[in-house]
Amino acid sequence: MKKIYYLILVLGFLPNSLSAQELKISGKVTNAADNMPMAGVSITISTSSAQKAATLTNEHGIYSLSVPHGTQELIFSHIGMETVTRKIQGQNVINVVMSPSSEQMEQVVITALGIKREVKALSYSRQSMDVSTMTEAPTTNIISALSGRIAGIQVTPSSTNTGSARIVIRGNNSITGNNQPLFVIDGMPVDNAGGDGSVTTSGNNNLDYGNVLGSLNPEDIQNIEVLKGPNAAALYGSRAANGAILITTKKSSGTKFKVAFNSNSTFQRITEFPDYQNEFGAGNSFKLDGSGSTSNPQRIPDLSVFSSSFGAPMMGQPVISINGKPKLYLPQPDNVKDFYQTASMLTNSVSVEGGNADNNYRFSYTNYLGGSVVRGINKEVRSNLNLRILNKFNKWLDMDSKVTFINNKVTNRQYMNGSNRNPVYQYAFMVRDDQLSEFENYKDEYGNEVNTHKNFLNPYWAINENTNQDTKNQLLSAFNVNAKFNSWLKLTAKFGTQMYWLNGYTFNNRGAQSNPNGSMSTLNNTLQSSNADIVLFANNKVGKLSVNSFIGTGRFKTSIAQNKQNINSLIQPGLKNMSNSGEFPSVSQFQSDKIIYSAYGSVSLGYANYLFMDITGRNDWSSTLPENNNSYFYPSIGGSFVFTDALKIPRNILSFGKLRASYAIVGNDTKPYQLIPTYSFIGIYNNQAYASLSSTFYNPDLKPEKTRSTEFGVDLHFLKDRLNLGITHYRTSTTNQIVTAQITPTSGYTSRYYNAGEIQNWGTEFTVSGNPVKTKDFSWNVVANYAKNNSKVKSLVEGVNSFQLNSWYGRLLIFAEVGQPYGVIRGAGWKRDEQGRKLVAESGLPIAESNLILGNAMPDWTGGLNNAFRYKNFTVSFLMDVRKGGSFYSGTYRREYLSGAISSTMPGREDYYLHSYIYGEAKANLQGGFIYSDAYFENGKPNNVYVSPQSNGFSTLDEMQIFDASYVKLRELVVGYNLPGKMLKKSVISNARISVSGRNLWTMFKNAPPGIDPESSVTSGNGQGIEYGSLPPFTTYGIDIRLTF
Amino acid sequence: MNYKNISWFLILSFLITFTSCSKELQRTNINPNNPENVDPEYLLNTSVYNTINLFGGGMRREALSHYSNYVSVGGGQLPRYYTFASTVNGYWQSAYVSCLQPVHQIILNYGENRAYKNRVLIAKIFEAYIYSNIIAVWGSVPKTASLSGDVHIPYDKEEDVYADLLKSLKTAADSIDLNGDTYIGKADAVYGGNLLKWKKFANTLRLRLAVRISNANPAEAQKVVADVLADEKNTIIAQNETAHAFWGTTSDTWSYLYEYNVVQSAAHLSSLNVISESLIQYMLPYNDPRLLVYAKPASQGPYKGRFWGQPKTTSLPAGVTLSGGNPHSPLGQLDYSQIGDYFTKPNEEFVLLSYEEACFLKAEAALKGWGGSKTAEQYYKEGITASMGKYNIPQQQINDYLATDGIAWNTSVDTTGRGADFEDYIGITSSAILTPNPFKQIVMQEWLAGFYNAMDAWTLLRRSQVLDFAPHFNPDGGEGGAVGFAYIPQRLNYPGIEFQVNKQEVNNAVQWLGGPDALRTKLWFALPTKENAFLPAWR
Repeated sequence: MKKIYYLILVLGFLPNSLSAQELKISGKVTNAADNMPMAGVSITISTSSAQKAATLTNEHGIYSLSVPHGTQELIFSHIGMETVTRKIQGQNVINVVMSPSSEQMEQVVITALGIKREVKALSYSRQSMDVSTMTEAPTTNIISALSGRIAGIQVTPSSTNTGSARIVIRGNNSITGNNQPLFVIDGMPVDNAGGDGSVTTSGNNNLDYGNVLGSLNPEDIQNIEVLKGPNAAALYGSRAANGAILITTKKSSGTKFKVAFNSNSTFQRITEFPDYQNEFGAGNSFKLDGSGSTSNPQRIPDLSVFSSSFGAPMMGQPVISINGKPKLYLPQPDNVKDFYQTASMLTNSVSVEGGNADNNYRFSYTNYLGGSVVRGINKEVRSNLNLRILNKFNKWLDMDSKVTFINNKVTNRQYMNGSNRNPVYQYAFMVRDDQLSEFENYKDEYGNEVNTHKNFLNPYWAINENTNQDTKNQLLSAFNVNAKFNSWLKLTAKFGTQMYWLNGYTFNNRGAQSNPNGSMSTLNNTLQSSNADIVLFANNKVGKLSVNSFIGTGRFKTSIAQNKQNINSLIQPGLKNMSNSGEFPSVSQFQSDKIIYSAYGSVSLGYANYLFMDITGRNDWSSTLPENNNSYFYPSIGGSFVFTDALKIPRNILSFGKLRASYAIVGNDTKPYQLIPTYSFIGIYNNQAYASLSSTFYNPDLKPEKTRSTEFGVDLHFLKDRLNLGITHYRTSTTNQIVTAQITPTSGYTSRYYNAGEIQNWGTEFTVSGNPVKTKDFSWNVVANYAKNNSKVKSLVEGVNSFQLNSWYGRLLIFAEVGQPYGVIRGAGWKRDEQGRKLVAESGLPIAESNLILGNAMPDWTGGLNNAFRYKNFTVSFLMDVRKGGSFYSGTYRREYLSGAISSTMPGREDYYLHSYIYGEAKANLQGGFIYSDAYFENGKPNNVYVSPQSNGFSTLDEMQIFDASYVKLRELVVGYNLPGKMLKKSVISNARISVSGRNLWTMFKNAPPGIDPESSVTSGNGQGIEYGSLPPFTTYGIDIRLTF
Repeated sequence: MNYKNISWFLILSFLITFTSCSKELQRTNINPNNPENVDPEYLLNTSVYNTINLFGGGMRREALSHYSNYVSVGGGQLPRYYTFASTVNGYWQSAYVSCLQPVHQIILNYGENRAYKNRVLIAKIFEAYIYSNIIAVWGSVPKTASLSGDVHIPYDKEEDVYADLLKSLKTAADSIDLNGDTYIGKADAVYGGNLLKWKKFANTLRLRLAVRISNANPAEAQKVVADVLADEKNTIIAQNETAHAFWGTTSDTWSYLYEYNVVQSAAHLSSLNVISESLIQYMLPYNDPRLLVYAKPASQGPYKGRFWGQPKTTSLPAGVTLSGGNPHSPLGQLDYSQIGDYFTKPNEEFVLLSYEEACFLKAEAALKGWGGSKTAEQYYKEGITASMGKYNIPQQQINDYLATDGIAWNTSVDTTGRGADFEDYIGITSSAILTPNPFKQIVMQEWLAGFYNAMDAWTLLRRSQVLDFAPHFNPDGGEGGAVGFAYIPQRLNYPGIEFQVNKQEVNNAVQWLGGPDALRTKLWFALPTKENAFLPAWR
């Protein structure tokens, strides 16, 4: 609380404002939530022409002051509380009850390094997140909860409940490096790398182990602050070049002993399926050929040899099902739907807090049980323990300690994307006559996988025999020691650690068609990182000039160890033990260390509380760069001008107005060991170990990369802050990028390190918030945001025009390409004539033109609209999330189409069947079937050639699998009810609230085909714009009960 | 504590930290996981193993074994004559990064070191072998400037690469010091460190390359052949001198075909390599005893117990109808003859250059009168005997075969009454040697002896164009053009990655091709595709 005192003192307590004393006023300020006195509430005197901060309440919530003549109102403000304005009207005693506020009303926010600053003094844009509904309508990954709430962020939600999510602020600055912001929890930067780094588009057999933030407990979060650009984050150094997200966990709110209990249950259901066709069943070329094998002399068609629905019309013909039993050839419209279940996620948490003003604590425990819409997949058990202790040892020394421990166990993580172990992918194109029961018996008496369509594997085998399990223990700690030497000088020592231990195995039982001998691997990954900082703060004021400054130094170290053991041949089916191996296991060990030393400082000057200037500087020394390039300095400068105060603009309409501008440079280093090429021993061949050289050409002269960022903004408040508007324009350019660009393999390497390239991002962000209605019983709060980011790849390595970010089997490619926005999608498209008409060959099949630009993965703009209503004890809030523009490639749709499973493959089918098989017309002169009626021959004549719907050239045109990624979603709806205090008076319960929620309740608009979610992505990495094997869109419903004792 | 003390404390701790930290930073960035240098003993096998995996792996299953007419599967990209960028990119990357780079590192790091002289020469010989395959697949490729880590690598013209390889192989063969250093046995999976055999391999490889370009540059070819055969004792002259390497018995070193066709046969049921109709066509009517080794009789289906090969496609050419219906239409891969067990072992052999091929190369040279101590007929018989001896065929059966009409030197076969035995099921190609043609006999025997050694067989067929094979009646990706069928590809297209990152240079190479960058475009060394007389003119 003392800190605020200083701030208030520095920022506005001017002696000459107290000249004409007329009236003494005193009173007490209490908190509506617990009726406890509130210390440190700032009281501002408001006259018709100006506002002046006057005093603060003491520890007992008491204040007293003298107001000059003409003072009309007192304004009471406090972090996290709704500002209260009271008319004086001659009263001597004004008691005030304050209630928690939404974020726009806060005056003081946490900025880089945990420094609390008054919003008006900030020269850059930041936005805090309303965390109130985050616990009531929880997401399985906190990152997803930010979607639509913060201007300028783009979220790619995790593809499963246990997976990794992606968040990017203001676009992508780096080609191969990390584009995600730095996460800082209670002052300590944490590693939030995606756990899906080794998962490929084609779906190899690696798993997505989720990111650190994914297992954080929303219950413990007090505040999330998003610092958007390098300007805001210059002081965190390299790692914050893409912005920073500061998460503050809860601490004891007062001095009273309190117990809070929360129970939250949510349920997920798939709400949208592909539009399946139900007329044609398993087969090929519209036929149901019977195999003439000696075991089947009657030639009854055996469906196990077909894996696509391009057979004959289903009319109850006798066939042999995949399980070898006779059945009738009939559609099974719900076979995919029936595969999915309702998943439940249960969160129960209890927190205890207490102590006194000097020494207090808060402890919480949360238990989470999660599931998946796919039976048997992604079973998660998680326990979170969080302890936060504040100690004030004496007048000048205090300490804030926090320890978080998370134990997270996941059984059967889902294999992703196009992996044949991914049951979601297998099911998307299920043959239309399959009954689930035909798959259920997936194993024969010898333990071998059975009941498959040969190339279409048995999904129940995938689920039940490819088991995996992992346990992740995480420890996050942060300790802050503050020593106050005098009224203006303070020393803070900060120390924090992040550790995690991941132990897991993946098991693939003997007998799978694709891996008959089975395999197993175990992995042990550890990460330990520590941050230590010492910062000396000096805050002072001379006349109208205020000075906030600090210098500090820090050390950051991170160590990673990854051990993996692998066996490729199991002896005993089902025995999950590494000794169950028919061969020597192969092992791999990887260890990496990285250290950064830093020295930094900042000076912030304020003049008369309306003109502010910030200067920061930081120098880093990184172990990952060569000795002569390993030191890099980066400065920032910013200023803000509160013109409403300076020009004394009457506040009845424009109550606050600020202009701000800032410029920053941020440097960045790279990963360890990227300077000198090395060999690795990869195995034993001919009884001799063999080695290979790294396929990356390393660069011993790497230099740090540089991001330069400029931003301008204006913040305007109207009608006594009832309507607030913020506009920010920014421009970022990253140069000298440390890029691993692909080079021609004929160089002997596949990629090479460069310091090259430039990517520019520029854009505008708007946030509008307001309280259209605000009465005692009813209030309406609305927040809208809009952001448009533009990007352009200005240059890459000399002579290199494009860099591949991702691909779908090498044919559909995502690029960073010179002259184009980041994330260009290229692939084969229709060849068109000068008039733009689609061209077909003489065969009637499309003519493909390869390597055309088919779209861009990045949205044109994103936005969100949140409305919160309160009527007496009821609250209703809903959030709409909008993405406009951008495209994505749907590999799932391609597969569904090529398998003939969906209704869009129906045009021309019956006609083709009739002409080809009933009338017996030859291929060359078909009179009916599938036709591209809007296409033309190269000689300009309209296409009149009918083709088979099964081989209509769909597979040769990637363009046909590209879709608009726009959507408007009702992202979140929460309806809550606070039990009235009267009702609870006689009970031990002091506060009770019940709420129901829904997430992703309604996709109000999208252009993607049914059953495909435009938000899906194969990766949380840089190569966005590809969907493959993802879950169909689902909705989450929940009920939440919270009690405080 | 006051302000002064604090600042002194800070300044002091600052100084202490930064004097010690510079060293700590350097120390921290030393890679604890991987060495910066390794001995050639750990690198030669890397190239050997990656090379047999490339030319005997997915590329062989999908492309080479089809293009050499040994096996067949119905579908898939390369069997249907079109390519996925990722597939060709993969082959290309493997060729340069996995196969060439390790031996190149030996040459680069030990080239000046006298103590490693022979080991560097062996690396050079193996490097030349890899290049000799790469140019047979793509034609002009980067060589002189390759493997440098540079951003843009110029291509060398196909003919220049041949000249370069022939020159460097001669230098290497001549420079090997038979009493000098060598690899320890297990570090050399080809010859176990035997220097003389490496010398012989280098010379025989020269012979192979010279014969390969004998249509494109006869003068140079003749010169090299004469030079090699003048010192014939230093070529491969015995079965135990065959250059080959074997896969291993552990799952990480299993042969690709074993893994694909045997271990995962259930999952790959529709794309198993099975014996092609062409191979049966060239073996069965001549009573070739090797057929029992190469193929197994069909174990199911309507042709159970008989050798039954799969045609390139079961589609019929336009205008053709078969009176008894299409016998192939309802059949699956299991209904055809499978590849013999000799070739689907986990530790299968991969032949780099065999004794029997050396014999046939010499037969061809002798036929041309370019040298050699024996007659063409003698080499021809020696080659057939070597091939059969390798599979332990009894001498009597070898003799019988050698006496068969059409197989016996300079004879033809009388097909009266059994013409169909020599024909494909449509009846548009025949394996019968109707007029004496020693050259055709040599090529046919070299092709038969090299079964499943598909890289070399494909090259042989392209340079000789003398054997008859049915075209593909259901090709994809425009290879068929208006007529709807295609002959075997002449090359693979350049990989997509080159057009992304080495565009200027690869475009030069495309110019040199003298045709589109397509599978049908002929390389410099090859002859134009021999067209089928029954079918309309192609293109």
